[in-house]
Amino acid sequence: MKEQCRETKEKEESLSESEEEEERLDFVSSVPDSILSYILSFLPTREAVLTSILSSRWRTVRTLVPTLDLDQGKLSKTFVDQSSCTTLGDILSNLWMHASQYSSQFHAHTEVAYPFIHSVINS
Amino acid sequence: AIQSSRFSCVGFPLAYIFLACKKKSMALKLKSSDNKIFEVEELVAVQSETIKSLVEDGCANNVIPLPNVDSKTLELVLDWCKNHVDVKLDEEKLKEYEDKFIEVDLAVLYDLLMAANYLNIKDLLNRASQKVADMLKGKKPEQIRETFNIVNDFSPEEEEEIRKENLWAFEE
Repeated sequence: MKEQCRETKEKEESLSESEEEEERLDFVSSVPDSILSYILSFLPTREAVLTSILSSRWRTVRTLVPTLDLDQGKLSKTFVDQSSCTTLGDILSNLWMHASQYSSQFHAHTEVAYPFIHSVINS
Repeated sequence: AIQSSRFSCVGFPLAYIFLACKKKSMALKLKSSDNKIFEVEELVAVQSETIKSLVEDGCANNVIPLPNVDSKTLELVLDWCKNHVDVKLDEEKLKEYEDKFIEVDLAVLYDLLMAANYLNIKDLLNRASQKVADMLKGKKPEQIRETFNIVNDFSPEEEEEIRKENLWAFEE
């Protein structure tokens, strides 16, 4: 019983020492994939893709984002200079290629992009 | 005929009482993970879709246990709900309230996200997610890693590979 008490006490002490660090550490590692990818859906797709460089966790989570928000005006010059239809198509197929490795959810959202591709091609 | 008239005699006052109760927005009792009881108006609590379906299924007569939300977080969440009951509230004032509400440290933001997700309170989940997204937006990877204490587990080769894969996003 005594030993147990001491153990708990020690545990508490070590907790308070690194509490701040723990809290910071906890945020990303504790948030479930579903919430983290939901958070990324609040970013333009380009910025969401940029987070894949952060760590392997983010690389996976990025592919779970169920939304597409592409702004042609903000795409890099190289891509806008080339034929924009094929490049946007390239970007989409690139997004899917990586998404399909991890998620079936993304497939379900392909219809979201179909009208998008259509409107790009027709415009 | 006797049976049916007896039924309507009993049925009418019962229905009346039921309607009267409904109108008055009953108080619900919520129990946090650390066993604190919060008494809240039904109108406030049912902004949580999770609680709403419990009420609709008639499972809210006793204390509703919320084992995933501690009292500190539940207090915040209920404050948010109270301020979102009246949809006619001045839009500017509401935005002011929301902006102030969400100015919290990462640990609290985490608790709010998890609670909003569990309790299914869409506007709170969205506001908290937006807050984290704002912390990511326009930042360099190094800055984001610093803010969220993310350990870069990529080798330089892997990093290069990711940049190549997503050239359209990484090019300035």
